[in-house]
Amino acid sequence: MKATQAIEIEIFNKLFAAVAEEMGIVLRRSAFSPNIRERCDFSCAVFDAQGEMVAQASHIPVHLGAMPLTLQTVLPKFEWQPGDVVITNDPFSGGTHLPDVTLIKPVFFEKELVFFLINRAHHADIGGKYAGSMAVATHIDEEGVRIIPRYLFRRGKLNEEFFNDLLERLRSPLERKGDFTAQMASLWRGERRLKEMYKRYGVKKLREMATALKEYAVRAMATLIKNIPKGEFSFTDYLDDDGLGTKDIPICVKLKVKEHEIEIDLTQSADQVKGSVNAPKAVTQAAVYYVFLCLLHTLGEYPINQGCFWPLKIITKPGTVVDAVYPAAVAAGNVETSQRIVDALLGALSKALPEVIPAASCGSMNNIAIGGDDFAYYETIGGGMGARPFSDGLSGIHTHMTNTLNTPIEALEHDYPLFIETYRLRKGSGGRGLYKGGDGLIRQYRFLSKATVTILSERRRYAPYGLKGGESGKKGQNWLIQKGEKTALPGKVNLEVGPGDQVIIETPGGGGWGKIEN
Amino acid sequence: MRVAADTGGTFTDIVFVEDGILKANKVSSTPFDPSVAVLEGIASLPVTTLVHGSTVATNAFLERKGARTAFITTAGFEDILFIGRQARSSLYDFNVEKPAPIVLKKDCFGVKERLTAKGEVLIPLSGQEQKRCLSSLKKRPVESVAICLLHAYLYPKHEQALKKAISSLHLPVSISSEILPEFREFERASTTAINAYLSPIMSRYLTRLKEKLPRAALYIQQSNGGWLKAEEAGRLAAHTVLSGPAGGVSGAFSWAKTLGEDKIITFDMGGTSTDVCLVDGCIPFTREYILDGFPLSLPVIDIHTVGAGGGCIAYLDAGGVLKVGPQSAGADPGPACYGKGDLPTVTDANVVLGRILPEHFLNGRFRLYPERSKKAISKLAQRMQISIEEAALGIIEVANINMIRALRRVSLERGYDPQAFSLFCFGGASGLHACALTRELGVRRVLVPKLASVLSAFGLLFAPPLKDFSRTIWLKADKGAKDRLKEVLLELKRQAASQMKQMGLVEGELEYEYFLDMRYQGQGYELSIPLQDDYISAFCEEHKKQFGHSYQDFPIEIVTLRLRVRGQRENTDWQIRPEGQEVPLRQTKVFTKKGWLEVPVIDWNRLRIGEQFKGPALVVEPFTTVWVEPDFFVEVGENYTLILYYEGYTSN
Repeated sequence: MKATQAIEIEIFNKLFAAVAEEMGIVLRRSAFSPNIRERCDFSCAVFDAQGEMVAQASHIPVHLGAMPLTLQTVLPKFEWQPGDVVITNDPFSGGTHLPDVTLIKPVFFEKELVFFLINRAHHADIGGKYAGSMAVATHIDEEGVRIIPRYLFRRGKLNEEFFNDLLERLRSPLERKGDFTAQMASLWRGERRLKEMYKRYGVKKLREMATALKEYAVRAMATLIKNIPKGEFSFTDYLDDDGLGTKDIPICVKLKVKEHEIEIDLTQSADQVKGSVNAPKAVTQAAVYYVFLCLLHTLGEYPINQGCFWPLKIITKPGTVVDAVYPAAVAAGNVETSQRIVDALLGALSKALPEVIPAASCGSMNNIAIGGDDFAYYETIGGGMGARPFSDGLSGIHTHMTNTLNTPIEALEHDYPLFIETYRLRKGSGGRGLYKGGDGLIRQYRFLSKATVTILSERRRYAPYGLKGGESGKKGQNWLIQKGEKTALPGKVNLEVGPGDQVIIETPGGGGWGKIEN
Repeated sequence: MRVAADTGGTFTDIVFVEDGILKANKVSSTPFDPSVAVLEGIASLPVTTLVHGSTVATNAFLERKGARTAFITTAGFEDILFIGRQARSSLYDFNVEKPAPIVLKKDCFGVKERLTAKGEVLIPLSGQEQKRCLSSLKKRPVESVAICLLHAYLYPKHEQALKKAISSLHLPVSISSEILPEFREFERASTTAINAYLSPIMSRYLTRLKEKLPRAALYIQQSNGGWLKAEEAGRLAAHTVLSGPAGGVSGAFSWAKTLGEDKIITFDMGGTSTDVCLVDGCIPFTREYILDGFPLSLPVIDIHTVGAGGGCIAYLDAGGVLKVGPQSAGADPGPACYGKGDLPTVTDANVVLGRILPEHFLNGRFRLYPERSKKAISKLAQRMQISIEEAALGIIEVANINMIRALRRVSLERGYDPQAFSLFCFGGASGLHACALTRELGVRRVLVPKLASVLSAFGLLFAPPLKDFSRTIWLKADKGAKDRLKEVLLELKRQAASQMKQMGLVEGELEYEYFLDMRYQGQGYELSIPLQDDYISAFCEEHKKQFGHSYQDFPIEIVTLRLRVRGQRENTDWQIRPEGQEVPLRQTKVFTKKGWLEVPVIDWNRLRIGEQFKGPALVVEPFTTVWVEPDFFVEVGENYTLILYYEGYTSN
């Protein structure tokens, strides 16, 4: 590293990150879906012409880690021109699940392609059999409209025919149009900022610094790997079921820590299943990246870019729950299986780094999608965080692969025919231990009109594990109250409900860490 | 005599007008009891009115030394303050923590009652439930009570009934429908709880101060730039948390107006952080302030703060990259040159570069050890294999990038072109960084007022009495909206007039401003538009300005209505007379990218209005130093304000 780079790296890191952050502000503030505007279920990033991530705004780990694969898949398939925007949500082209729609814009300086800007946002609906597009389905086509990567804009011109046709196939098309417009506005803003940087620094400097930033991240990762004991570490955790009869679905991680790289072998995981817990490869990759970025964070504040991922070799077998192929249903792979991959990987790492790795967290995003004649609503509920080797886990919080906000009850009840009976911590659900796991949450819904409800949740049969003698967290539970009768619901279910019916979701607590000393 | 007192971490600043001359006075702060310094500073003055900018509330909050507070809410939602928005503050982080709580879990309890989103009573609040609430409170040794019921912003009667039911306890009670009658329950609950938590502390402090000033009227600066009577500030402490910074922005704006300028970006660089604010003809407000992890959704002057200040520590991370802050050496131990600590800071870099002259630092009241700065930075320089001066320049550059980010955030990112604005610098260290920031940001010019180091106190002196009122109304912006709007506006106005009357202000002296918070139906972020005939077009225009697009065919809703009422601002004429010890004209050496330069040291007190000169130069004054880079041209404006122009704009 040249001496001056020690100063410039920090400056350019901030400059590139600012572009991604500003894109996020524009997107959030002008979007319509509660998912985007209230819950911040979106992400923005800057990539270089080779398709490698240069900077990102910290939003949702599952998006950010998955975007590199999206661009790698899409980049060579298009002949990029100024003014183009490519759109996709295809899980088999580097996407996550159908509601996450990605827009990609190449940025040209003079006539040279130098950067790509990407944003990905979770739309409240993307068509399909059930409102909210998060149902228990068996085929990708039932889950919603799949957009194979294609031009939304070509040389600055919107493909109106395609766009209008797409909107027609979605519920609340006006709202969706607003969300797409917000995504575009965010790309234009990012482009403007990159062009200003180009004017100020020139293309050579920007390229050089993009590369320097990546190399810097590689050096940071090298330090990290040096601190992990060498050897092989394995761990298996299980998904409860796929909602359609397949139970106890193993996620197996075999970790090989070498001198300069780490191999993460997931090939022994279950074959893909009928229900929607299949994770496309991009999701698996995102989960692995997430874990290593957390480890990197224990060393200090480092820029997050493609360089962080270079020393990680992820091995999967196509056709498994961690590398799903067409026509697998994948809605829950992104939100549920991603969490279990993290749990399995942390389990393996806990054998190498027992004083660093926390016990299992809630392990589910506790998804609920509610749709009626004229509305579609979706939200996720946090749970308990696993205890850390130095402190208790936090209660009532989103962990690992998501970080979406809750929707204010006063906004929810104003906007939808829904009523919240209670929203509170689930006391005593955190696993006991030297350090206690965090408590989960209880959210109780009453429906004011006829509606279809889908619940996608996990850790209803397999509890979040404790570590070093700490107890597991309490499993989650879902309930239906109909005509005064309370019945237990499975972890994954599609339901028809009427006015007055209620659903209660009790989310899992985190695992404990360490034996309780008497 | 009207006197302003602003409490800071190191100094308490006093500003007043005597015989038409604006005067300032600095005394050392007394953190154990800030009123001691205030009283010392005003001891020799015939004070009739004291306007006070206080950090008592803010500090009590940051140290979690507020009053023990009970939190009462709708049954089923008792944990609302602990769940928050269920998100974590840091994404890739096993060690993430929630903000330290301000209310004990055992002091939170629910009452059976429920309103709908339309403000209808679904479950009435029974007399029995009120009694239960009273007896639960009796069992707890709490000093203050916060009440926030779901949807209370639409129907305050349940909260009012509870307040009445517990009045026999003689505890201060903050209710959400009074503090912040707006939707979003967590933000409202948090704001209400902050108020309950801080009010007893504020009230005690003000009572003590008032006892020692029996004959003077005591006013407290609020975060919105106006003042409140002390009695009221003791009930509404949440309104005072940005007291000092708000004074700074109002002060900057009044000062700029004396130069005929009303478009400024304020830049106030302190020891641990830097505050910036863009003023485009009027002072902007936000309701998204976060106080140490807790939302405070009252209108506060829209100040953006970044953790970059003179005390920020520079270090090399494991990858060998230079970082600055956000950790700060603060005032104690302070930068290495203060003689206690040995970690290199931004201030040390300025010392090494010759931009801070030890003999003029804080009027010579504070001894600096420049050799310690050199030693601290030399360790970094060795590891980076560059010279000490180059390392110091690097520290300045990295610190500047954080400040530039803040300046861009309030300007470019909100659709404002910096070229139309002047950068208005105040606070001790701002003048050292102003030129570099100007070059990067492209502002028109830089203004540095003669009273840069006491500008917040200056702002307090001329603050008007001011209050904000609001109500969430959920209204479709169509033809039928007008009548309902009028009705609520009148209600708010009545409320405002009666409260101002209690402050001794009568109708003829009051100015009213109305705002509509609007959005396209289905969005979650509202834009505040001044009330006007065609508020719909105004909203669309603002949306386009901020986000680059607007819609013709989308329905629009008015979410919240706002009213701001303002009394007359203090209208004393003032001028400045140069004073202070004289600085002999001499040369010094300053390090820049081009190496060491010979630079004249200019005494600000000797400059005459209308005088012009070119950079490089160091302009010094007892508490402020301005580093004028080469390529900058200086003109001395009204009130001895330094006006710096960048000549590089024209040459390239």
